[in-house]
Amino acid sequence: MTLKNRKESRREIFHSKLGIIEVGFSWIFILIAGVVILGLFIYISSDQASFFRDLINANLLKDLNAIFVGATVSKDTAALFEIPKTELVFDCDSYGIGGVTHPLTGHIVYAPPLLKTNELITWTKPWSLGFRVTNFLYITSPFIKYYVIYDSSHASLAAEVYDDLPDQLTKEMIAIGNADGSYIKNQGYDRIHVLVLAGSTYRSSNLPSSLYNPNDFKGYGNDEIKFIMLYDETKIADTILKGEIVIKNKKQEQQDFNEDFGGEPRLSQRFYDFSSLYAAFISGNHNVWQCMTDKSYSRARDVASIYKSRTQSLNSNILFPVCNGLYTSADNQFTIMKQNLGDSGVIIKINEIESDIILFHNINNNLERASCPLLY
Amino acid sequence: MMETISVLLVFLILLTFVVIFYVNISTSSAQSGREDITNLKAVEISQLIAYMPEFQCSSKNIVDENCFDMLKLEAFGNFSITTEGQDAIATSYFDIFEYSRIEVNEIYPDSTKSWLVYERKPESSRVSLKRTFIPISLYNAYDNSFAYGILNITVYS
Repeated sequence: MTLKNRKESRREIFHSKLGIIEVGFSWIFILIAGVVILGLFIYISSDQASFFRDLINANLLKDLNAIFVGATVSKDTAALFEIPKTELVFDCDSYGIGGVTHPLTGHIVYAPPLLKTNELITWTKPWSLGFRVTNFLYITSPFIKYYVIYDSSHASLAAEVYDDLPDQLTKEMIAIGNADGSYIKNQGYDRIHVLVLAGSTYRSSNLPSSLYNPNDFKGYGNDEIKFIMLYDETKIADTILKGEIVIKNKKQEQQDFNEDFGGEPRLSQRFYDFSSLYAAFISGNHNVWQCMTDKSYSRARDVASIYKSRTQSLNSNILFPVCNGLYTSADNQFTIMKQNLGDSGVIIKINEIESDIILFHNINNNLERASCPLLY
Repeated sequence: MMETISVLLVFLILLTFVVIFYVNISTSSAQSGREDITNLKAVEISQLIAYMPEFQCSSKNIVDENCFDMLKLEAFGNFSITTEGQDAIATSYFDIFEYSRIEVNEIYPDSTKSWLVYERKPESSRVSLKRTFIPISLYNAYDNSFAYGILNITVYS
């Protein structure tokens, strides 16, 4: 082999080695490019999936808000809505689905803290302290069972409450003597709320243990069975129910049952109007009930200010002594009521609001008899 | 290898076109969604204000629908200039009305009367607005008479 041929053959071998290496690099390059493109598409698709899930939840919350606004302005109405199966979370300021929240924007809404449902029940009742203050919106689902348990002295009140509750609710009324395991059974509801109308004679031992018997309701967490006790109830100004409410969970009621706690209430709270009682019953959540009640008293302060100013205008322009005397009393009473309602952050003198309600009721009736323009 | 690179380059250019197209679609869809929300907000405000006892006509808590009490409108105006009222408007009423302007005008018999109930504009200089007009009746408690009026709701976005 000549030198020239040897050089040529060495060149050919070198180029073929290069070709082999180049093919290898080409495959590596393709692999890397493919992984990058695949990774990019996987990232985009997962990001978009998460984005569209949030978008769907946000659209659902927007639609729910429209439903809630419509429900809020229609007092004394109840409706059942079908919605996509979802888990709705409620707290004092907002409600949400899957981490996306929507503010409650001034509505007074009472609902259990968690609703896993494809059907929503909305119900609206006006709340008044003599004069109407706002509408309470109650939100629940047919998968929550509501029991009204009463003793013989509360039979008429129990019937009034039970008839007032909307038919769409899954409700049942049981006399306390019958409230045993044959009536109250585990029927697979998400939550159970029990309203006990037995007053100061109520003792936890009157209720059977079946509601917190580990064998009967073992699948229920402590906060999934709630007891709402009503004490010291009476009616003022003809129609407004006044009383004390205690909200207990399963563990607390079990404790009271075991210790035979008797009629002494835990953390009781004064309320006015049937609407507040229903608020505790429907929501079964002391924190939400307390928080929304504070908001409603804050709204009552504003409404009382407006009625006070209106009364002063009437007093200035309606020049009949009988009317003027009543308007002056009402004006003073509005001042007292605003003091009782307090400023934000100040404890409300809730027990003293009762006399304000009664006085406004009497003044309004006297104005009507005297053919004067009414306070409200 | 050069072929592979050129194929990738073409692919990236096509991908860029797709992304630009998608972004344009999303932007116009978001714009349309924002208009829907503004329209919905105007309807919600008109519903909410009509049921509020601060403005609604009532007699012993029996409500007259679509009726506003003139004395309550004046009282709300007086309340809104007090410190307490300004706090309430900045907090609880802003939660309800947000950025909007709510005005009531009497059109018959006295078309000179009007009440500015609420106004709060956004700080941004670029705002769009949506106006809604609703006929209402106005009650005068002094002489137990009624008048015709218009509820003007302007929602800013």
